[in-house]
Amino acid sequence: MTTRALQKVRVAQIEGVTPSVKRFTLESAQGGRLPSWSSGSHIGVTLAGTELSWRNSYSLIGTPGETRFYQIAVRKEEVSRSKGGSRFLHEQVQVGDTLEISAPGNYFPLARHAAKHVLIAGGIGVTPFLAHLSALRRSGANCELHYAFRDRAEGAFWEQLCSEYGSHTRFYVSEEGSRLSPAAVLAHQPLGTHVYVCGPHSLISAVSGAAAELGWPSSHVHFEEFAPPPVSDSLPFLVHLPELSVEVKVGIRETILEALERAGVPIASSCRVGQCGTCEMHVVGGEADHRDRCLSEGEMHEGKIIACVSRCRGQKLTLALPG
Amino acid sequence: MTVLLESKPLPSLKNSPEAIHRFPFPFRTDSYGYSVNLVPSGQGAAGTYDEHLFDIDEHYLTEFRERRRILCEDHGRRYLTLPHMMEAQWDFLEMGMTRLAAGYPEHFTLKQDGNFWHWENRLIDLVQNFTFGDPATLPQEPLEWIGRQMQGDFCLLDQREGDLYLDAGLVTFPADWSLSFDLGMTFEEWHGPVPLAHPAGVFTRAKKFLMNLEIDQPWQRLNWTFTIGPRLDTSPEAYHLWGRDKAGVTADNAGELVHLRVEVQVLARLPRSHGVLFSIRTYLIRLDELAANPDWARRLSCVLATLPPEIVDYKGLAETREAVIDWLKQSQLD
Repeated sequence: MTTRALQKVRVAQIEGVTPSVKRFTLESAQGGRLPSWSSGSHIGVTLAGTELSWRNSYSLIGTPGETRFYQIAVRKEEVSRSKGGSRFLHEQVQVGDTLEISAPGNYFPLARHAAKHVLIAGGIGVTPFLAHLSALRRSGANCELHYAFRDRAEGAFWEQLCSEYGSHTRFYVSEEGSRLSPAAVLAHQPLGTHVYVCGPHSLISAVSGAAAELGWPSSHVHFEEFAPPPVSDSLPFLVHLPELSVEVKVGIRETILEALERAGVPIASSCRVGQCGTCEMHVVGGEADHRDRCLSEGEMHEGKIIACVSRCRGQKLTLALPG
Repeated sequence: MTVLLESKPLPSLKNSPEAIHRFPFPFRTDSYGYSVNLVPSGQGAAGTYDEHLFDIDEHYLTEFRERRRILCEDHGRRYLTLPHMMEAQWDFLEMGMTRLAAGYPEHFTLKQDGNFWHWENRLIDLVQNFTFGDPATLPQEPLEWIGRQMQGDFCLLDQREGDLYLDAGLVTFPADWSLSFDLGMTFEEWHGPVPLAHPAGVFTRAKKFLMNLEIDQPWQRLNWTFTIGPRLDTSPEAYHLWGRDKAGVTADNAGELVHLRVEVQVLARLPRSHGVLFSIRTYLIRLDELAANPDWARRLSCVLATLPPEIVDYKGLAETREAVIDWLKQSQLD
């Protein structure tokens, strides 16, 4: 997605947390410290199998700022290609192996000034909250965790959370008939409370829906779906610029911007990682595969596209130069 | 209101030939307009202003003493931080110390044993042991303490609710803006006075960019204006001391009085707090120092001649622009 700094890590420890969740401890392969990070951060892990490779995102768990090692908790998913990376981690990766990871990024940070923090987790979506709770306890903030999972054998970390955070935690075990009601959790929170949700899409929409109905400002509702794995498979396609009568093939390992530059078309650019929007172009034909982090949904609907990272769903994209 | 008792221009800010050679001349073309002109920072060639993320140069002690004087007289308006920014302050201290120690081992040493840190700054003969994360073990708060030992001004931005808030800063050398006025503002609010750029969408783009900053991937942009005399503190708080200087500029004396003021603004992700560091390192060059490079003199006069009137007003160049252009033209003939 973006060109976040990559580095090699060594798998220092693998522990079973539940029958389907393992905790991996990763140390810098060169020795020394890893970059500092904030709670809610994730790392991208590149997993190179014999036929396929994956780049999956996992939340960092443990104490924020721990730089001697990183820890991630991975649930083994059974099918679906996009989740193949978790099976690979469970079945192939051994202690002592070297993996490539990205520097930590954070799309799910705490709002530090909140009067109170309500954390709602579903299943393995509990992982970012392990670090959040550690950070919140350190700053003495008012917080509570509501954690829903299927059964006690499969609920990761609940015993640890129960013993460390005691009365600040509440668990909902569906096999025992205990259900989390977002409306009940949110109904009597003090003004200035922020809610954070991580889990399956159904939980996120239930919490967002309940918050909206209760009149919570949307800026106080934060969510992260099970970190969607960035699309790493890229197919070649054609880019056509009718204005200049240019047609150029965008290869697997190059971007629209690079292909156009190769063809002698000057496009203003700056960051070249999909952040600044300088190389914005307009889609005239074909379907864009947006991979930037600067356009709003409205701008995408208007046909804007960021040439340094975005691609094409299909064979051909017809573009126009900016204004 | 605090009265600044002493605010003299600083004669020791005169540049050596080496400092002139490495000056961050900001114009890459003959005209100037606002854009999101961001490039990766701290990746320049050896000896250039951009070799290290935090540049240390021959003016270190002059700036150190000038900042100490300003803080002594006007601390309450120059160092301001909101309570939720303490984590970001430690972030900044860590980034400053590790970068300085790695970039300038002859001047700075950092030893870390868990949270027990040992710091040496040989430029000012300072040795300090402290506990990382415990403000009680430092003589001042982390932002002020390490900021005083660096060159430039430092703002820490809190990222929350889809915006960036200017919630902490050590700002003693501003180009006519006030930390105490801007504290707590959102990104668009503190850029409110900038003309032309808002309709062009520059700030919307820039804000999105900053909110996506990655750890260990700092960016920079250059900004510029003119300053009369070698004066770092051109704050509104000290306007009574520098505002009138512009009136005395003529085509004859502009070479000695007028300085091109260039800010190297660095934007970096603060990894522990998920905040953003916005640092502003100011470089001053006198016009007659600048004219040692004829390409710079020619380009600067072209830029000034074609500058949109709104930018002329905003940058406070209206009174001096004609005189500067005339002086530059004359210097090219000589």
